[in-house]
Amino acid sequence: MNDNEEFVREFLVESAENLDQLDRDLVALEVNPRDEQRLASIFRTVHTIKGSSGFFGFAKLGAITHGGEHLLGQLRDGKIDLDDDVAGALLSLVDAVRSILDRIEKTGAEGDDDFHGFSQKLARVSDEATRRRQNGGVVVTRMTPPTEVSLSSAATESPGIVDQSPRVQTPTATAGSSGEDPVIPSPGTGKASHSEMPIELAAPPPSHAAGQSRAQKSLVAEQSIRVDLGLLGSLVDLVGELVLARNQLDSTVRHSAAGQAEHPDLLKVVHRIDTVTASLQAAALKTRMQPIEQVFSKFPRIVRDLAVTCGKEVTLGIDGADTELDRSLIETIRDPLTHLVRNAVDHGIELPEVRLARGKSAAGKLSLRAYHESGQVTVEIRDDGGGIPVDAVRNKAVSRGLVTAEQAAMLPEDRVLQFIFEPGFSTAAKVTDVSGRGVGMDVVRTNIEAIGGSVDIASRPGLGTIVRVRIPLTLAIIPALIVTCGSHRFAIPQAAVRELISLRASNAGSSVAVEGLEGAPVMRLRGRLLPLVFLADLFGIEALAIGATASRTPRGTVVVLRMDDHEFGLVVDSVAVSEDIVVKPIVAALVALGFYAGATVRGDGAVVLILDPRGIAQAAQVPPRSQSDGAGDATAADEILDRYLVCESPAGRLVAVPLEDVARLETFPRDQVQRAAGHAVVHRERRLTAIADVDALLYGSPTPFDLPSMIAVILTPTLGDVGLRVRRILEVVAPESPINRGLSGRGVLGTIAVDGQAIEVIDVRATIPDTADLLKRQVPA
Amino acid sequence: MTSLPPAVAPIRRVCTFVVAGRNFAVDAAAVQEVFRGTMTTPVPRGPAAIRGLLNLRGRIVPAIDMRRRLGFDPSAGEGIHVVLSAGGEAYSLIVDAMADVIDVPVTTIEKPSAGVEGGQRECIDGVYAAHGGLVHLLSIEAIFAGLGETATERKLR
Repeated sequence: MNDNEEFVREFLVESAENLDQLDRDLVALEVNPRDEQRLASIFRTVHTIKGSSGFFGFAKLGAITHGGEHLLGQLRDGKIDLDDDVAGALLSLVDAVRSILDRIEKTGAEGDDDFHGFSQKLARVSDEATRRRQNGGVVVTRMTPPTEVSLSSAATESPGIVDQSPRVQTPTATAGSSGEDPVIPSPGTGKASHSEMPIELAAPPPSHAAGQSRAQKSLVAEQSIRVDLGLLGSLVDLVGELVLARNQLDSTVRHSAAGQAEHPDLLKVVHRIDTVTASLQAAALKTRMQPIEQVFSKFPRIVRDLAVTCGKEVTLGIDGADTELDRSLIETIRDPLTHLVRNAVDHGIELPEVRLARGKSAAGKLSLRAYHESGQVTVEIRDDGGGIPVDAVRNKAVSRGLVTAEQAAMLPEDRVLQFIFEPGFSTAAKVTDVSGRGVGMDVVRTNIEAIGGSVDIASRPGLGTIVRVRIPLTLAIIPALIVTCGSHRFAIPQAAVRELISLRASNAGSSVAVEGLEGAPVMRLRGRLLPLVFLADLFGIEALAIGATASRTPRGTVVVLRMDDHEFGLVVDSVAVSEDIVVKPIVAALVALGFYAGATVRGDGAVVLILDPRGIAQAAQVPPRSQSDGAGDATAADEILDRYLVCESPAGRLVAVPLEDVARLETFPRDQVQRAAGHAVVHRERRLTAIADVDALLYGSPTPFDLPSMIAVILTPTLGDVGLRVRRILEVVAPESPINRGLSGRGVLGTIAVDGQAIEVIDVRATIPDTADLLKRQVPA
Repeated sequence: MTSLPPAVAPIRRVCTFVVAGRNFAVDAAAVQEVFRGTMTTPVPRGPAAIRGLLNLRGRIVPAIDMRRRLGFDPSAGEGIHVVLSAGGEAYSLIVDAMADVIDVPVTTIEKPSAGVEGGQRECIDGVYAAHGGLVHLLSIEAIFAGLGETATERKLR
């Protein structure tokens, strides 16, 4: 076996990835049992593992995967239906394979566990399912699946999508031959024995966008290699040094007029080095980045199992799985996020009967969203469950002696919620298998804070809970502003910078006036009050920048910084330059100060500290935006309230789209739009997107397309590649009273009241099947 | 009852330096390099003992003013940097002058006298006689740890 060791290791790594994919595919298949492509992919994966286990002589693994393959074969041939029993058996197969692989990884052998009974169980499930099928005819008896997963974007349900092009047969299926998408022949044609089933490769038809992107994906997989992480790390470090040297070269040449005169080509060369370095830097950084999907991909299975255990129904929505972050961070956030997801299902989402009694849908909604914001990655875990019982938390905090009853009564809700991060804090009435032991939230926070991140929680009784995890960039090259303050220089991450405003004397009295509000300086900026923080005062350093007093006019530059919950102006002497900096770690004792996110080295070799806008906002006690900004930008708590995008339809009607369904707003020039039956199709990011006419959807009356360009509301990818054509985008509203569902009809979710006007809300989910249909009908195959 | 002659007596190799006219020492193994004063970047609201940050070939290293750390009057001179590494973090100690690197038999190292106070008491974990006087052996961990406390205290303020 020694010669094989390397192959075995490779097999283990590959299989681990495949098993994760299997979990995902099986849960998705449960939702959509007719997804033949997915079934084919599952079949192939199991087949591959079986093939490899034969090659390495892992008999037990071979036996159980053989049983699984048989079951899948029956399923594929339409001899059995995917009911709960079959799905359960297939998922337990994944677990069994995983446990054997774990054993192999640890001991090099399959171990003594007896899987004979398991193989028999698989056979029994297969027999029973066959009998059910024969007795019940073709009636599908499945109940609504407990978990619905919407990861992929293309509509894969229609039989029209199944590939009809000629198939290329390959003679044997070896472990490594995972080429392009295999397509299992439709029932009736694929009579090959399942154990010797050759993998069939099919070239996807060029017109089918989803097939194409999948083929591209597997092509990418073939062109990738595994690289030692240490090597990548040193590569990134070296590039960092190169960036610094480049900056130094740049400033030296620019400041040396004589040098430029003597060597006229020098500037050109420097420019070239500049360009190449920038590209190299981007490429090197990309090597460390991985999509957060690596963490998210486990959740459909976890949520499904948990929902079954708890007797709940949960719809899991995943968004932004392609958000990339540093690989080292992916590992760190895996456990905390898993914990939060488990919490949401176990504690957050209510039992179906409770939900129905509360006027909610029986299935709870759990959504995971990842996105980049202000140079950070934010992961949002949001459920529409019962929310955190604030009073229970309050009482618990008192009974645990964390605060006195009087203090507790005084505390605002968001402060009370912070107690759940205390070690051993749990309000769960009973301890379940899943959670409720009170270990957890404190560990979540500790782990996230250890990497310099933060965890925020907002909850509304009866409406749900949002937990927001922010992960900073720890090691990266980021664009930054270099500012001066007295004799000091600091770097401010560009991501947090909204705008720069000069506080010149001439501006005094105009729109940029510095005022005092209860002793705290503020600035009036376009009708809003912006809190100001004078960096020199905060740091106790001598500087030029000053606020206005009776005798002085203000001086300096205001750097308007914005994080999700704070916005303020940081007043410095001047802004020197904007450039890419290498974020270098600083010792823990300095991070603990809260003011600094790291340090960098300038071109001249000097060390410059990187300011942490969040820490500065805290230290300067900048009030959160909702308080300082009267009108109230949404805080986390407000987001529990549904928000809607109000638009004018092509025919001039006012309609609203739930904001959570909106991915972005785009305008397309007329010549990019193909039209058919009042609807339109556009190419976006190499994919086809169907753009439905809102009037046609809701009122069956398409509006002629007469404008030079088309404004479209592109919906979240989880709904498919679809958008809505509108005439104008009006505003985002958060109505005070919830949506009135009494007035719902076909395609209409209900109505919301905005300024006394009733506006219909499009039921995007209900109208989408139609929209996806559009794409199929309109795009010639 | 014959006792075996002792093999080589255990020794500690230490690097000695001068701060405010007194001799101090740290374990030589932790010393990475020594160089004459260089430019540092001050850290506003940082621990008082940190004079600033220095760029050590791309690595950011805080420089600890040992006069302040040990409770002496600060000096205007640039001093000499002794870069130490412990617990995965590197610091530079700014001292007045370097003395030498010597091997000290462990048996000659004694407990520090009770007389010392403040920063010195935290940091000193042994005393031995050399250079015609006493040399105080410093605990590197204690030097660094004290800084952390200062930082946290400041944060809480």
